Amino acid sequence: MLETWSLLLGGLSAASEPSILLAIMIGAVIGLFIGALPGLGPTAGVAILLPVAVSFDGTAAIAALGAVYYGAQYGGAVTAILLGIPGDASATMTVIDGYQMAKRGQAGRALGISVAASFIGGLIGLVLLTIFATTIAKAALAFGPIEMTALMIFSLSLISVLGGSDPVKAFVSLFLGVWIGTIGLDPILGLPRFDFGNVRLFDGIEFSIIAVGLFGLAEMLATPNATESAVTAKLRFRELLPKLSDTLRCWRELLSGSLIGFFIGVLPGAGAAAATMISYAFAKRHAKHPEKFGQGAVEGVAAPEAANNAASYGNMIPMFALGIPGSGTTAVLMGGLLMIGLQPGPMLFATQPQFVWTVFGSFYIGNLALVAITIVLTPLLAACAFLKPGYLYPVVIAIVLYGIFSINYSMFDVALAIGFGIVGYGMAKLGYPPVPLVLGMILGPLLERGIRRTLVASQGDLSVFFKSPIALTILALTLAMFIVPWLMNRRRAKAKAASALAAGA
Amino acid sequence: MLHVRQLDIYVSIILISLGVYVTYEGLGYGYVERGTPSAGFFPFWVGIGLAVFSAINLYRTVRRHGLIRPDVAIDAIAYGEIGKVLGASAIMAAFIGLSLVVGMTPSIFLLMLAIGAVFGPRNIRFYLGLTALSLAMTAILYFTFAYLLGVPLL
Repeated sequence: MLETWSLLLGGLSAASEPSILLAIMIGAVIGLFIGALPGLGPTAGVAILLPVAVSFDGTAAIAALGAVYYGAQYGGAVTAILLGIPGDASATMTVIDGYQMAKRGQAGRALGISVAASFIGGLIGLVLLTIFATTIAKAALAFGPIEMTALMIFSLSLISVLGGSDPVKAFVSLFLGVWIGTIGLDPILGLPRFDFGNVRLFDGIEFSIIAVGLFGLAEMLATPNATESAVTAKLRFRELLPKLSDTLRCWRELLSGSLIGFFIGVLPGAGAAAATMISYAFAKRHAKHPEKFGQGAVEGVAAPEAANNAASYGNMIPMFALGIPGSGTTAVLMGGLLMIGLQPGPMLFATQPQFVWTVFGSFYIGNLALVAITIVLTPLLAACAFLKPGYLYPVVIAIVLYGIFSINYSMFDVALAIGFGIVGYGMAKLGYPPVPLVLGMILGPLLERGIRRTLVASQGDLSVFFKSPIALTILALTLAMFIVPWLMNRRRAKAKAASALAAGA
Repeated sequence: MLHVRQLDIYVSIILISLGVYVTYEGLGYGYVERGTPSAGFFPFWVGIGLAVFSAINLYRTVRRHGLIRPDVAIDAIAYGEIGKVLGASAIMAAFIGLSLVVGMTPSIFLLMLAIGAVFGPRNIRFYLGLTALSLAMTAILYFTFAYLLGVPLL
């Protein structure tokens, strides 16, 4: 454990270099604005900036993209409190009490506790990320291709089951993503597949093109315009400072929110929005005055804000430690890692410790810096929610098109991104979640390589997957995940039918 | 208004066809070679998965007889909205064509004006603001990509 903390100290020192600090600040500010803009969540923000960021130095790029991610969690709360408009899904629970507080003239107090909660949630999440990522990565070193393949099957299934309200559409989306991942040369035999006679598809489709199309362009186009019906509070700087008395008063909500947020965040597909709902419900259930929740309770802001920030770091555990992204945003981040030539997973800690710990160090610095940046920029962030699409869309689309072109200097890529923008818009309207598609595209090729290499080594013997106790346990868990809810539904239906019968008699 | 249910049915049929195509192509690439999986092994199963789940969705959607799904917030999309999205996509496609003729810098300026016109209000104050914003953004993009990142813009 001591070794971990000394490595982190080294990372903090490396992340204090001017170039990394600049990347953190730029990423944090952009993230704050993206979080505040209705329609552009952290996934869209990271996706839009991905092509631009990877043009810079690798460590600075990931530090900046990470800062966009956690910066967006801070920014979402500002418009949620001041305007009653959640910047992204994870800020929805903050609206309930935060907006009530603002309407009662306590906007500054609500913003203060949201900043304090974001910082504390982020800090707890970071400490847990530091501890668990290294521990899990060390344990995962024992995983061979068979175990990793089983883990990938489990993660893909979990994401598709937890990732949306419609598992059938989630699976359609997943298979579509896995198919897109097969486009290009076969990874083992080198045979071109699904190239449609176009040599430009031999290398497959660049991940960032799809991510930018699906998250950047589509999410923006599919979002209805915000209406101007909110509280426009005039705030003085002093009012925005977090109050120690509120922070101390909410210590239980801050702690429970952070822990719930982190552990929900670790689950692939569960996401920050689910973490905020659970932490809010938990805080309300254990509150001395639960009736005050929904009427402007400061605890009702503290719990979800701590949760969504902790969840953003929990989300990074599967990506860094196992090489499996658990959400859309971490999938895009993982795409960034792959684009700069790094393969996330347990070996990353062994082969690139300097990179990993500098990035982790940058997260600590960014989390602290965001407290000051958020307070200073709050009036501007509030104004952002009223930014007209007529001004916002041209700017975002221009950045997206230039960013995509800069990857391979190819207009073909730009055309593909536009195509995926339209596809993403259609998916949003029809209720097909885009996250499983992106994850399928990233994990599909890894899964194919894992399965085929294992079967080549075992000369086609499928039973190898059942000879490894770890793989067997993981596969059994995967199966249980489908069977248990089905059995529970059946039992519930039977009980309902029996009670209906009894009532009829 | 374009009904979501109707659109979902068409999309499901397209996805089933795609699944069948992927499976068929997968068989063409070779399923097994010397007892081990070949290039078509994975696409074969992916195609089957895509076709099966799309068929389940088609069955559910057809049986629902126009009922709105609780997880889909809308039951229809206004043609005006579709027009805006397609208009924006057409403008972006025109940007590609125009870039090849006059270069990316003047094209992005025109693209921003056109996108703003599609999504913004129709008054002279907005157009003046949009023109200023587009000019500033064009300059920022040129500086960032051409100078800072060394991207050879068209």
